[in-house]
Amino acid sequence: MELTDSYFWAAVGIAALATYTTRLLPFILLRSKKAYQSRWLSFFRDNMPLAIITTLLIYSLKDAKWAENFAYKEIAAIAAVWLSYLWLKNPLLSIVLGVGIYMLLIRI
Amino acid sequence: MGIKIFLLTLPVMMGYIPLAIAYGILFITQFPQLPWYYAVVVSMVVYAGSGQFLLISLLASLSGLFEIAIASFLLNIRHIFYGISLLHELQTFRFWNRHLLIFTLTDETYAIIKESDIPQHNKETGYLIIAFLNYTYWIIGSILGIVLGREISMNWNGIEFALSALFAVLTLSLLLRSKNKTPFFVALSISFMGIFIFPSQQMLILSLLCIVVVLWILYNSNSTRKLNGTH
Repeated sequence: MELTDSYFWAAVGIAALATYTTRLLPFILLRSKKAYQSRWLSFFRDNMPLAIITTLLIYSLKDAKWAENFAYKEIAAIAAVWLSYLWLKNPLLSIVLGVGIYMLLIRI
Repeated sequence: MGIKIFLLTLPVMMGYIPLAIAYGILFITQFPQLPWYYAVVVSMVVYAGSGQFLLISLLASLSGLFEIAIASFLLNIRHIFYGISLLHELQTFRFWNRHLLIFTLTDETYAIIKESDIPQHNKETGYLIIAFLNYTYWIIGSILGIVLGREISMNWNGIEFALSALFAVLTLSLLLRSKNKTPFFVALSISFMGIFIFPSQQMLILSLLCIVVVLWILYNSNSTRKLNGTH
């Protein structure tokens, strides 16, 4: 299978709609106080943002060479991102640094 | 009012333009066969930083449409919690203005709106100008990225790591702010196992499903314990 135009636009349309839905939902769902205080929602608010972003981080590394060399290049670059972020608290700088280190590591 | 609003959005400009440049370069590198303006249209209709990076990776691995819908929805689900405090303010806005603002309500636009302190009678126009300026920065950055990616004939291999680096920063900053660190450790261990035990195409959904179940069980057993302890 290859990337066709129809698949591309269907995927983009769906991603756009899903993103818009997240922005629209509170304006539809949370009109009543009851929904806002539900147990499920408070569970979600307290747990899921961190769980989801952590899962996405691991998901983005799923095609790394775990079996072959324990994905050491990716792990080293992530470590650089985290350490620099802890130190300077500058998100953009840490991203640029991480990408730079990764691009360097896959070339040597 | 115009100049003051423009100054407020300057930090967003500094953040959006470089990030959108990275997006444009990544798009062009991953899909050199596609017309360049496709990348701009994606920025115009999706308009979500990390969402677009994720979309590129999902498209590159030809993921199913259902997985793309779930992944995009979950990645941006935090907007639900940001939007709550704007509920009442936006009720008085005209229908199209309200939806235009909801469509362009990124984390940064929300933050600037909250800090802007615009007098009541100017709110509708003021908020729309903020949203429009931020949107413009994102589109300009995307175009710059496409131009850079096409014109500078450098080997951009590895630029796709921008997605992981972005998620790494988001994870750490959220982890530092969270009192409850359990979701991090549960998600980390389950999704890491997921790489090896789940089929690659459904790894994201299956991992998230297991994580929700485990965290929900932990959440309920914790609150029962607390109730028993205090009463």
